[in-house]
Amino acid sequence: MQGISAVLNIAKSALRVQQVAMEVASNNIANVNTPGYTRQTALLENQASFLPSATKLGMGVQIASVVQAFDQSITRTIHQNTSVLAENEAKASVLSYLENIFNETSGQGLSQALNEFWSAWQELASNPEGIPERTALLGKGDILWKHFNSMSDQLHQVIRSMNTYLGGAIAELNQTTERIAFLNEKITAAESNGTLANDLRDQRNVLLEKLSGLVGTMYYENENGSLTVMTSDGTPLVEGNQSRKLIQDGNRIISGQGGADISQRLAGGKIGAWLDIRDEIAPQYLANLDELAGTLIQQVNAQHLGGYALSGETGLYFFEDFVTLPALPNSGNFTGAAGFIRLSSDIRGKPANIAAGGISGAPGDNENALRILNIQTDDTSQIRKWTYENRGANRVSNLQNANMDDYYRTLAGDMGILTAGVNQSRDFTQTMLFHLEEARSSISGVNLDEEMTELLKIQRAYEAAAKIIAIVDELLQSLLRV
Amino acid sequence: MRVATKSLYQGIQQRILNLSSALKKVNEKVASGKNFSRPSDAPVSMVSALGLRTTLSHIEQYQRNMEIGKLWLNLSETAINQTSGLADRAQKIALQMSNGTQMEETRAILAAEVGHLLDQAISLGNTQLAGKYIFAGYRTRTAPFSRTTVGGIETAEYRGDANDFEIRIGKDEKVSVGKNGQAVFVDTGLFDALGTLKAAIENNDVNLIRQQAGILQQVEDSLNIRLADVGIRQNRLMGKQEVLATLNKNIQDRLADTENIDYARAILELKERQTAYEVALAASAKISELSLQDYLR
Repeated sequence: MQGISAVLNIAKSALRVQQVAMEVASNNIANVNTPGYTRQTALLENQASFLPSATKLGMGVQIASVVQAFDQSITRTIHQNTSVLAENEAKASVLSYLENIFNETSGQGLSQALNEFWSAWQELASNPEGIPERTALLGKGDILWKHFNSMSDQLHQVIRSMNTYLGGAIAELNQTTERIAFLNEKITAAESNGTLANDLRDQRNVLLEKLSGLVGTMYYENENGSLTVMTSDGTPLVEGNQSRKLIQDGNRIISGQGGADISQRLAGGKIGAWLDIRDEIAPQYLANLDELAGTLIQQVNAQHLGGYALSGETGLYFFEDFVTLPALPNSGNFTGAAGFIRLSSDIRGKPANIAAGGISGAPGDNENALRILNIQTDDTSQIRKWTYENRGANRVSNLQNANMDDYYRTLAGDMGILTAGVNQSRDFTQTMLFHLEEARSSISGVNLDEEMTELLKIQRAYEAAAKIIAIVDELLQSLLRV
Repeated sequence: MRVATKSLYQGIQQRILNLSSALKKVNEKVASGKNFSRPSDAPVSMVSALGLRTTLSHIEQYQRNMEIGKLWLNLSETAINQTSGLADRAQKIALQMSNGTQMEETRAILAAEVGHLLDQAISLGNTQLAGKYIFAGYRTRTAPFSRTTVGGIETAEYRGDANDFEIRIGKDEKVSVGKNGQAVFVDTGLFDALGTLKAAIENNDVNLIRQQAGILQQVEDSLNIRLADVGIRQNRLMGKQEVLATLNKNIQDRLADTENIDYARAILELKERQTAYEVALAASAKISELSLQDYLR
């Protein structure tokens, strides 16, 4: 068709296409604050003439497609960093609690309790027969062992609570992978005719980001538009329209029914962080606290046994003696000592039974008290220090020559350094993610001023197309008047 | 670069959050006066502060021990000094009596005085500090000296033991502040000399009296040596006390340097942060006013 009616058709197509373009711009404006929304643009193209014609004029305008302004590589980097950030955030939040257990800055911690315990021995050495001094020592001993017990309790509680946290995260993960599988199916169906299911893809991306916060992931897109998702160690989570559930079974996490335990391999995200705390960080500090308590029991008792009570009795325990093998803690394995330590029944409530005397029960004999005091400053005593690696699969211990004060101080310092490190990488990842998100927004985000300008442009085009129709109408009328 | 409207606002949000978190930190510092309130704030400083606190607790304990030690030594000094005076008086009596011809009456009076001197010496040997006999070795609950007669001669019996009472004044440093009565008194021969002198005066045995005058001189000398020994230990404690007092102050200064903030700097920092925060708020308010819509009317 050519001539005036062709012009009318061209104007009609322009009106229709500008309306669609306005819809796209309006939709962008409407979703300016929608999380995960990717800006869309209507791609217009000239409608080519299919009639053989000398002039080869076009036949108007049409929509080629509506595309998303989407950058795959930035999005992937964001997902990776989301995983790292979530891991650091989860770890930092538990560590801020853990470091409070070791908090010595207020002068109320275990270090202070140890100092006061030794001071009480000093007072006793200066007045070995004094019942007030002996009673005070029992009091300080009580404070000390209760402090050990409560630190051990708190560490155990942290370890136990990780399983509760993990349970919640795994439920969330299963729900998310199920949704991704569902969206995979819908996207594949919607795109089978060659168009892009932009909004469904946006939704799937939001879920993918959420998943990355739970555990480290890898993924790739298949040709049919569906996404295959795995954990960073390669355990499949979503394939096509199928999701594979993770199941928590006590301390174990298994993939699908009857699978192997993958709790040692899951890394990144909140799940990775909580597994690290549960199997590596908290148990390592607990083991070292046990070593300290065990060493204290062993060394004080060894010296106390050889001393004499005011009554002349000897062979008395100060702290409750270890249990016999294979029960724990025993003289060769201090596991659980921090929770076990307490005053022995020999001296509990019996201040006169503290063996201050070195050669007899004579009231002025302070030799054994002085010998016990040597333990405090004995730098040659050897204490095991544990390092846990690979979620507790590798446990290495080294003997350290340190007195107990120094040993504990190093422990508290290690905790501070670890927490500071995690806090630092959390802040770093946060900043990085912020910049990445800005970069993504600069591609995918909606700018209202831009859309406004776009609308103006469309408005003018629409007005011009309408004007064409008016002109064609005039032309037709002048023809009719002929 | 394109800037999405959302990220414009997120940027404002993020920056204001960062600034307010920094402001909170400085504020915390100024309010608490401490450089760190949790281990991760400054792990290395915290470890060294802990070490300093432990050292400080040792030093304070040694200082307390030394106060107790000084009480023991001062009391020993007084007791030995007085005993040495007794020996001196007894020697003078012996010298007076060795001239031979003395009235029966005088002899009786002086013999009785020597007997009193023996009683006094025993009582000085039983000196107590807060209920403890300081010359009894470890048997601080039992009076170490009592009067007895051996072969017709009055003397004192020692029932303490041969241990010295030691206190700790440093990591590997102990000092004995309570020497046992055997070493301090019995070994000087004081009691036997007094008893023998008394008997000799009663029997008018001039030769024996003369001999005792010489022995009592030696006793006095030995007591003075022990007195000097107490003095040496007192000096050692005083010297150590001075050292520890200086050390205590130094460590407290270092602890304060580690833990406490420099107020001038912290307040300056607080001001800076406050200004930055206010500027950011003002700038954000301006930016969020801008919109193309305002110009399309």
